[in-house]
Amino acid sequence: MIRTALVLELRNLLRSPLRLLVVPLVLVIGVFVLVQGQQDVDRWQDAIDTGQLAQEESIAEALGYFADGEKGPPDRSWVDLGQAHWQDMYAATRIARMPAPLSSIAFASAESGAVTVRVNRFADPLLEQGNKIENPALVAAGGLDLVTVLALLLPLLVLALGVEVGGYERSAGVLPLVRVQSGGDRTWIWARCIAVGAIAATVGLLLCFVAVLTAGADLGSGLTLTLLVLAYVAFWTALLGVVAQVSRNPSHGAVALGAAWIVFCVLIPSIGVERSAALAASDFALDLTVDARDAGSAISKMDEDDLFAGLFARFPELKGKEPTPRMSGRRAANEGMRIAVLDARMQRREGRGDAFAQLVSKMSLATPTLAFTNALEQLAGRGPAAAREFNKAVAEAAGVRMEHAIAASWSGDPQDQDDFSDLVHSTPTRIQPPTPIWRGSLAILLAWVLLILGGGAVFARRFRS
Amino acid sequence: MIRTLFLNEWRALLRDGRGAVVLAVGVVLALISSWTSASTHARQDFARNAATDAARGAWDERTGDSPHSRAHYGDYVFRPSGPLAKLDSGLEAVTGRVIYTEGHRQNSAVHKPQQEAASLLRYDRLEPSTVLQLLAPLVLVLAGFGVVSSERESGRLKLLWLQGVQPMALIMAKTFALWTLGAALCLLVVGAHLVFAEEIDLGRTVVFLALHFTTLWVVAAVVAAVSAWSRRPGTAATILLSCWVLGGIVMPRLAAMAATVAEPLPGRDAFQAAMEGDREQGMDGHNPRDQRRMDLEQQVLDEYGVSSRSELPVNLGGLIMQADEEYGAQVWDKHFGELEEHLQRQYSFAGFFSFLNPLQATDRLSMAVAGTGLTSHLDFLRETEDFRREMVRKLNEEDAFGVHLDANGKRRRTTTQDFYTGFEAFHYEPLSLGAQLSRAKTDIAALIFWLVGATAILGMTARRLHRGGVL
Repeated sequence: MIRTALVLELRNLLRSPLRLLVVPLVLVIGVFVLVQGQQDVDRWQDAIDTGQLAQEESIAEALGYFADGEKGPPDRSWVDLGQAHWQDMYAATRIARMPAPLSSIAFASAESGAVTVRVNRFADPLLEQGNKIENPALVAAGGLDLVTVLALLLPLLVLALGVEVGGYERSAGVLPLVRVQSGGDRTWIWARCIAVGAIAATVGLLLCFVAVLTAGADLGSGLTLTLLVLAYVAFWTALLGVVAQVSRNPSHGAVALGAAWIVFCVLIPSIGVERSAALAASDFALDLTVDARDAGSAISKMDEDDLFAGLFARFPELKGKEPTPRMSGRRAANEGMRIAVLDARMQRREGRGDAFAQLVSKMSLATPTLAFTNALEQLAGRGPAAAREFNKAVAEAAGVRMEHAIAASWSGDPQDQDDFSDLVHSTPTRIQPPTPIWRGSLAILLAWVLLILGGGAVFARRFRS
Repeated sequence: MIRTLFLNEWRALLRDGRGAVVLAVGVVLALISSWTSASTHARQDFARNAATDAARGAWDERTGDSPHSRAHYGDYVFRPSGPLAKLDSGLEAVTGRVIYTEGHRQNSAVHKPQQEAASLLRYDRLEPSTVLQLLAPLVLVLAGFGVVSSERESGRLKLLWLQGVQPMALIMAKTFALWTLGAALCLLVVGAHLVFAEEIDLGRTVVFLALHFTTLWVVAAVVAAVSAWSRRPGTAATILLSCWVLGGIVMPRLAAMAATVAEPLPGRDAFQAAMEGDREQGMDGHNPRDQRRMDLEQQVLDEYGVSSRSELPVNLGGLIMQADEEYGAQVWDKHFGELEEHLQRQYSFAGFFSFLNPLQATDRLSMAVAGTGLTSHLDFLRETEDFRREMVRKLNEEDAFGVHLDANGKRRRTTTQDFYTGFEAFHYEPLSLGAQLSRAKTDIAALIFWLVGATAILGMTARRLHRGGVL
């Protein structure tokens, strides 16, 4: 029966120029945004390459001074590459946040964290900015990328193709005929809905295929994307089926489906945004600004025992390496405590980030559209989780640099080219995006499908009785 | 006759269960959005004031700085909300909240806490402006898709013609009934705002109200016209819901995308590299061997008629820093000016889509009226830069002239703590409503176009109904 329904739906599609237009329209918009997404990833890669080039120039300059037996540039007498401080400055290693295989699908994400950071012991990842200059007036419009196309337009495609399913049969009085010919009207309506879903899924899968192909993504990412899209289409198909079972005429169906789309894709997400605004209301980043700036002077006023205890808690390897008298190593210790303070700040930020993540998780339960959007952003490595992982890696690298600089400063040994090379090689250069967590979102989507099917069956039975 | 028809329409709307539900949902959303927006903004204002006080306290309490160290210590500016941000928060979620103002460099606005919920930011926030620009039109669509087509389908339309009802009167009454429904929601939202608000900008509030009244008239006219031109209510519902989805959700995103493609912005790296390149042409305040620095030094020595820096009654460092600042300001003006023009070009490009989409015109005008749009944001950035320049100028001048030579010929600093505590905190005076609107001419023109067009369509619809006759 599904095959018959599919043939009918395809014939309906070919007969109605307006509906026929909708399918290529979604496809064209999808391909267009994918091309834009790929260009965005290219710009991301360019930023990484530019950083890499600057890093190589700085390192080559330092190696040149070592080769010539000079301490530094002749017009800057204070520069001394024999000191750990200047080695740290010239080993201008960039840490790059690598794009995920399917990064192009979510290029309009509001998350715009840094993609490359110059690492030295004073690097503060929390103050770094992304490589894009954004026009806030355009960002506020919500962005148009494949995530938006799949999350908002794919359901509309299901609606546009299936708006009259069930309602037409009832209003035209053909249901008794269907019952006689096929044995059950519900089966026929479901078959038509599944056919509509199959057409929408084909459009979605075609876009997934193009996305995977243009990005050169791996099979795993491609399969995950496919699974999520199929589950999302299944939800809207199930919803179409339930509405089609009860709609009296196409107008009834249109209003019911339109209302459902508005509730799931506009109203509930808008409540989520309002909640996130409420969560952000009290955050004016005092910890990242005023407190961070004043941390230096607070550290310099710390009691010496407390200072060294704090420092050794963060850098246990340094214990026992302090110079005698300990006071002479105070300046380096002060700098080291900045890393401990940075860690504490990052932890607090993580706490705030967790509150937002919990909000997104809760809102994802409330509407499959948000679960789907969230899963795709994670798959694209564009979400806050990816930015946070990158920041952690930068802070970690800054900590390693700091430990090295303190140890060198306390030992008093002059640093040579080997130390410089060790410093360069001890810093990671590329941070891969974290493994996307999408199974929870897929489970939510499937739970919604079951809920709609179960609830719909009960509702349809009551409606009929 | 119009009055009777109008009252009849309202009666029908309230009698119909669907109309009552739509109306009730609209009212609930209007009240919830006003209340949540007011409470969120109250918390935000409190937190911002606390942050400003903390920054000011740190500035005032700090001791032992030279003016130059103080310029490096810097100050923080926390972005204030627009005058009507409680009604329309505009770009607040996507612009940084804090700017660090310090010597030598201009920093961008940073910290967008809502980025932590990035996947949510793809959607609109449930606030009064969303209710009025997105949900109120939807209420009108759901309440009004059958205003004429249902009459036709049930045969009541012929009855009305037989009773001598004029098509123009009928269509105007129905449009007016729909519009009053939208206007009631509008009054409810703005009324709630007036109740919850601590400060009221009456002029902006009235313009905000007038703007949404106008838009809702356009929507009501389009709904009535589509309903009248459609044979069946189902067709009208489908067309109107499609228009709503296009106008409210899809087209603003398409317009933004088109503007980004047509006028691509430079990357941050390229922008900063160009700025740093130009900056390096100037003097580096920390590099004593810089040629321009040496020229300035010679000029000052000549001016005071001395042969060495130690004989100068002023601190040369402060003068050099100020000269560097002034050069840096020129570089910033050039590059930021170009960037600002670029952003405005993108915005203007997207603005032409307002002629296709009245909801976009309203959205942009609403932000302008609320003082939360792009013009306000750019103005705030400029004001912050002016504040930074003034702060650094005062510090550099004090660094240069706040010294005297003692009996031994040694330079002593005369700067007191009162000098630092005498600095005023940043205060932002929002652009006036007139200035905001004068920069939104395209959107005003687009809205007038839609107002005239939609009303003209009503006339055409009435003529078509008239030609349709009784049979």
